[in-house]
Order: sequence, then C-alpha cells, then structure tokens
Amino acid sequence: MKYIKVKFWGVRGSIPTPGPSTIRYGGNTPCIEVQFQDGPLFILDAGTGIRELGKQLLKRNQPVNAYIFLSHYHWDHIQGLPFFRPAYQAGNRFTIIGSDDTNVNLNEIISFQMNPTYFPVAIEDMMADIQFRSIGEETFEIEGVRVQSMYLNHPGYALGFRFTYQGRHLVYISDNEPFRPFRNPETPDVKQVQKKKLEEIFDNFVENKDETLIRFCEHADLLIHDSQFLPEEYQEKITWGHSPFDYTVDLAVKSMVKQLILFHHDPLHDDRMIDRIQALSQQRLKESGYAIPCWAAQEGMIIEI
Amino acid sequence: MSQEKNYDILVIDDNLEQANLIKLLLEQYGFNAKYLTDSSKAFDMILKEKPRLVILDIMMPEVDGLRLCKMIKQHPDTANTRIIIYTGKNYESDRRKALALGADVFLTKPTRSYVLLDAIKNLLLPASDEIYQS
Repeated sequence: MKYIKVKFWGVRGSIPTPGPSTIRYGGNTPCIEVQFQDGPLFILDAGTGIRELGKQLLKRNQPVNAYIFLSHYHWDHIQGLPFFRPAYQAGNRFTIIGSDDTNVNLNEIISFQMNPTYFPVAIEDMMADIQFRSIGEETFEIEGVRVQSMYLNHPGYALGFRFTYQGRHLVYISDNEPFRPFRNPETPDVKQVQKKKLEEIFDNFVENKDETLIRFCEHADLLIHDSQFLPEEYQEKITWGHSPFDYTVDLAVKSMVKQLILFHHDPLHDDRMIDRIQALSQQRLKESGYAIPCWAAQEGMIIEI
Repeated sequence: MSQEKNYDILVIDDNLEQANLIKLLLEQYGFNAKYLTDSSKAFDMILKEKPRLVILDIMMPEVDGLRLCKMIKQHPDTANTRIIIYTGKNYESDRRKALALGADVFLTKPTRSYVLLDAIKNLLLPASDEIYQS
C-alpha cells in the first residue's frame, strides 16, 4: 500500500518564537510538507516554516509542482510565502488553494501581502506558474487525492482539510476552538417540541457542530489538531479560536483516529511546557482506554502513514 | 401583535433542527416564518419572495451567511431586507464584518428566545406594537 509522508517545517502558532527555550520543538509558524507516494506534493500552510522547505525543494534540482493549501490568512499561516524561493523560479508550478474572504478573493488576499508597503517584491515577480483555486466547504480530487474541507470555529474563514489517498486518511486542523464552550452538550429532541415550552428548548439548544467535526476526523490514520492551551489557560482565552489539549484528545478518541499530533503551539509555551502538554495528553488517552500514539509536533518530525 | 399582519421572515441555517426551532418559535409569536437549509437556493428565494427579514447563519457549506448578507444588501430589489446574523461564531471580527456588510443585528448562538424576539420586534414592528401577547 502506498504511503503518505508528512514532514513538519513549522509547528508554532501566532508568531515565530526563536530562542533557546523553544529550540527543541521549534519556533517557525505552520508549514507541513505532505508527499503522496507516486502522487502529488501538498504544502499545508505557508508560515515561516515554508522558507526552509523551499530551500530543501531547490536542492532537489527538479521542477517543483505543488499544491499549497492555506487554512486561512492570519499572519502565521501566510507570512512565509514571500520568502518561498521556488515561487520565484520559472518552470515551477504552484496552485494555491483556500477560501475567499467576504470582500476579497484568494488571489487578492495573497497579492495584498506583497503590496510594496509591506514587502519590496511583488507577486508578479514570482516567475513560477501560480494558480489560485478558491474553495469553501467541499469535496474534490487532485491527482488521485480526495480532498474534503470544512469550516472551523476560528475568527474569519478557517478551513480544515481531510486528505484520502489509497485508503489512507490525513486530517489537518491547524486552528480550531471547541464549538460549544459555554453550554453542556444536551441537545433537546425537537420532535418533543410540542410537549415542552418552546422558549425553554430554544434557550437550551446548542447546534451540534462538534458531531460534524468528529465525523470529519473519523478513523483518520493521522490527525493533526490545534492544542494550543492548557485547560486553565483556555478558560481565559475562550473565543481566541484555539483548543485546550483535553478537547483535542477527546476529539481524537471520539473520532477513533489512529495517531494524534498536537499542533499550533502557544508562543508563550517553552519546550518544557510543550513536554508537559504532550505528557498530559498521553495520560488522558491512556485513562480513556484509547492509548494511540500522540506527540507534540516538532520541526523536522517525519511521519509516514 | 395582531395576527392578521403578515411579517414574512426567512430563516437560513444548514442545521435543520436549529432552523425548524427558530421557525416554530417565531410562529408561536405570530410571525409568518419559513426556513431553508440549502443556502445555495437562498438568494433566489429572497429575490422571489422578498421576506421583510432574514435570519442568517454564517457557517454553511454552500454559501456562507456573510456572503449572502452582502448579496442581499447589494441588490437593489433586496437591499431593504432586514438582516439578523445568528451564528455560533462568537468573534468580534465577524461581528464587525457583518455589521459593515449591512446586517442590522449580530447575535451569537445560543441566545435567549427573548433576545431574538426583541431584535425582530425592534426591526419590524412600530414602537407601539407588542409581540408578547400570547
């Protein structure tokens, strides 16, 4: 059976965090290389990690043809793109895939980042063939890989992706917050609506979007998911658009995934804190009776599924 | 409010239970409400049926609520439609965007029924009308 090779080039959320206290897990913002055996090359997000990936791709001395999936356009997910050297080389070909925003389309979003006010080189100076593909929540196929996308709970339009290739499933959810942090999960039975006071049902109704997310992740061979916070930190940061590790672990258990990677590390967390989140996550999995492999994402880490 | 008045409200939400619940609630208070879970059909329906008020979810697979809001407000035949965004997305940036696009009210789920009903009352009824007469 053919494999999917996943390499992490950037694992940090929000802002790069160079320095001795983050040297083991790494300080570059999100970028993941996904090579499908005998299939296409996908790049997930274009944080500062994409710069090193670009250098590596150039060393191969072959034309680069890749699909760059952008989960959304907060700085940490696009700030590496102007420094991605293969994009400046004629003969290479990139398809940038992501959601439009309400008032600007994908092409404009990426071009604006290279407006001369912000960056001295324009997107027109990128000599590679660069195409844009705007998507929403949909399913499509690229060179034998089935791609599914889903809007996440994060400010703006953030997408999660599920890739299926030769019976293997990879799910990438970089930035996501529990869908219902404020209420208990009891969903009333609307069929009983005539028997109860409507107002009471309405007041307690919480849309069960978490169920949709569980189905989206179900049976993945590898789930890469936001786990930025400790639970106590999350209580102070509800509506920031990120998850506490316990939510991420529970999602992995409910979705019955085979391996979990904790991603989008908090810029305030040093290596020791990430060690702790990893250990607590492994402990929670063990206690749940579903002790799958679980690691905190680390720059340079390679996983084959 | 008096029952003979016909205040058409269209609820657009991809979650069937949620959409139906809002419709039932509004009907209980005398509003004439419909719902639609397929947002790709929403704009055509709004153009054709011209509801006075639309309640829009944001995160929907076909056409999201903010894009619909923009389409409604930009089309001369529908620009006067009142819009309530009712979303599970509790983010200030989304609220600002919705209001900039012309939404009248931005409510986050879950909310209390009286909050939604008050918002509708403020948008549709003259100040003297009373919607809580049951």
